Amino acid sequence: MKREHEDLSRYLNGEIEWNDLPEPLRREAARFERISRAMGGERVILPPSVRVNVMTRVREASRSPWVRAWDWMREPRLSPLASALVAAALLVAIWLRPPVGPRSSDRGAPAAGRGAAPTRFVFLAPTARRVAITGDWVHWDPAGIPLTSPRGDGVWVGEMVVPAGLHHYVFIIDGTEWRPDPNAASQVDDGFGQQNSVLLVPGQKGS
Amino acid sequence: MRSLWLAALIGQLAVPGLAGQGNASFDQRLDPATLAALRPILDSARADSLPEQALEDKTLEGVAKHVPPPRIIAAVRQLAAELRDARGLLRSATSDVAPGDGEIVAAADAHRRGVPATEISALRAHAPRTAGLVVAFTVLGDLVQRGVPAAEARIVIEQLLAAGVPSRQIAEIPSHMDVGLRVGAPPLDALRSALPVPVRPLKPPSPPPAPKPDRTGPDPQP
Amino acid sequence: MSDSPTDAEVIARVLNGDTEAFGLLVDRYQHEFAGYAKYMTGSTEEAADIIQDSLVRAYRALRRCQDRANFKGWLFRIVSNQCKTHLSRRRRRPTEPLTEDHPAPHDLGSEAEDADVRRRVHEALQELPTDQREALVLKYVEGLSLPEMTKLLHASASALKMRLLRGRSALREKLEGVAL
Repeated sequence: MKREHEDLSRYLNGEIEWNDLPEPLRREAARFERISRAMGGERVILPPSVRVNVMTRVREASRSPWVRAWDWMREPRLSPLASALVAAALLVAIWLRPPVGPRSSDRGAPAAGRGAAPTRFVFLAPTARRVAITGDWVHWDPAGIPLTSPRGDGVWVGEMVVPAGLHHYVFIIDGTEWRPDPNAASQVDDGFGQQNSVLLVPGQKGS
Repeated sequence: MRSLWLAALIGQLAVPGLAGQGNASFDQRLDPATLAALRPILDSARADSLPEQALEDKTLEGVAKHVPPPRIIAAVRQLAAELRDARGLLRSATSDVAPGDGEIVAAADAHRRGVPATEISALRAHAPRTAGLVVAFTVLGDLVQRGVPAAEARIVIEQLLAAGVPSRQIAEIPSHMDVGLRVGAPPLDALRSALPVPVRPLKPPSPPPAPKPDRTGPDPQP
Repeated sequence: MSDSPTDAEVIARVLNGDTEAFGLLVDRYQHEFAGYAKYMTGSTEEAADIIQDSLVRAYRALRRCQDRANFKGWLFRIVSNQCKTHLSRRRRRPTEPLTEDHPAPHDLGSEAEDADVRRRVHEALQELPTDQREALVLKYVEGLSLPEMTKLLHASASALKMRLLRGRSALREKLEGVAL
C-alpha cells in the first residue's frame, strides 16, 4: 500500500488549506477529491413509511392515557382557579351532551365514521393583532376560535378538537380578513369566489 | 400535552353539544328575506334526504363572509344540485349500500375539485361494501388536484382499501406526496413514494421493452 | 408554517407526555442520518430500517439523554451502533451492488462515466472495514470536521486520522486503474 504524504494527509483531514499544500501533492489531492465527490452528491430521502412506522411504534411504546391521567392528577400544574374552571368546563360539557341517539352532527356534512381528534393549526401572520379560525365544524362562527401567538413572533397556534370528517375552514385576521391555510392538504373553491382550506379528520371506521 | 389531553376529553363531550347549538341559531343568523328565499331549497333538500347540514353551513359561511344574499342563495342552490348529483352517482354505483351524508358531501367535494363523475361512481362500485368512503373521496380529490390522473388515483385508493390500510394512513398520503412534488418528482412517482404499502404498478415508469424477435404468442395483458 | 422549538424543548414536551412531539425530532433527523446509514450499509432499504429502529430506540431511552441540547450527537451514536450491529449480523453476506438502488436523483454529472465512477467508489467503500468506512463517510459525505468527529465517535483525533488515512489508502488501491 502506497504511503500517503504527511502534508497530503493534513490537507485531506482538513487541517491545512489548498494553498498550503506543496505543488507536487496537488494532483494526488485532486484525485482523492474526485473520489470523495463521487461518495457524496446524493441526498438520501427515506420513504414516508419510515416516519409512519416510527410514530406508530412510539405511540405503542408510550404509556397508556390512564397512566398519564394518573400522573397529571398526581402532579397538577394548574392554579386552584384554573382547576376550578376546568372542573366547571367538564360539568358544563357533560350537561350539554345530548342523550344517546342520533345527533345533529350525524346528519351533517362533517360526519365521517365516529370520533373527533385534537388538531393543531399553525398560521404565520407577523403583523396580525388577532387571528382566529372558523369552519363548518363551528358552523362558520364569524368570531371564530382564537389562536394564540405564545412568543409574540407572529406564529399563531391553536389546538382544538375537531369532529371526524371532511371540513372546510379559513383563518380570520384581525376580524376582517379571511385567508385559507397555506399548510392545508388542499384548497377548494368556496362558491363565493374565494378559497377554503380542506381538513380531513379520519374517523374510527374506515370512513 | 396535558392541555391537549384535557381539550380532547372536554371536546369529546362537548362537540355534539356545540353542533346542536349551531343548528338552533341558524334562523337567527339570517335576515328574514334571505331565510324566506332559502326555505324552499332547504325544504326540498330535507324532503329528498340530502345532507341538510351542509346546506345550512354553506349559508352560514356566506353570512359570516358578508356575501350578498343573492350570491348566498345561488351558492346554496348550486351545492344542493351537486349533492343531489353526487348521491345519484353513489346510488347508481351500488344499489345495496345507502350512501351516508358524509360520503355524499365528500363525493360532491371531490367532483368540484376535478374528479370525473365516472371515477366517483367507480370507486363506490369497487370499494369494499363495508368501507366508509369519506376519506377515500377526499383523498381522491387531493390526488387529482396534485396532478395524478383520476383513474390512476382511484385505482390506488381501491387497492389501499382492499388491503385494509387504515383511513388515517390513507388520509396522510397527500401530505407525504407533497414531499416528492417539492423536489420535482412527477405526480405519479411522488404518489408511489408516498404510499404506505406497495400497490400494483399503474403505468410502467418507462415504455415497455420491445418484444424479442424469437418470442411467439401475444403479450399477456397487465 | 411551523414553530421551531429546540431539541431540548421538544424532548421536554415528549417526556411530559406529548408523544406526538417526537415527530418533530423524526422530521428533523431521519433524512439527515439517512445518508450516513445508506453509505454504511449500501442500501436505502436497510438504511430506512436502521433509522426507524434507531429513532424508536431513542424514544425509549429519551429519559437517559443527559445532554438534551446535543440530542443530535446522542441520536447519531444510536444510529452508528445500529449500523454496526446490522453490519456485524450480515457479516459474511455478500454486499449487494449499489447500482440498482443508486441512480442518484440529483446525479452531479449525469454522464455515464460519472455514474460509473460513482458506482465503483461505492463498491470500494463497501469493501472497507466498518470503522474506516464510517470515518470516510462522516468526513467526506457528511462533511464533518475532525473535532466534530471526535465528539460524535468518542474517539481520539489521532485514532480518527489513522482510520481516515487507512481508508483513503485502501480506497485508492481499490480504485487503481479507474479513470478519475
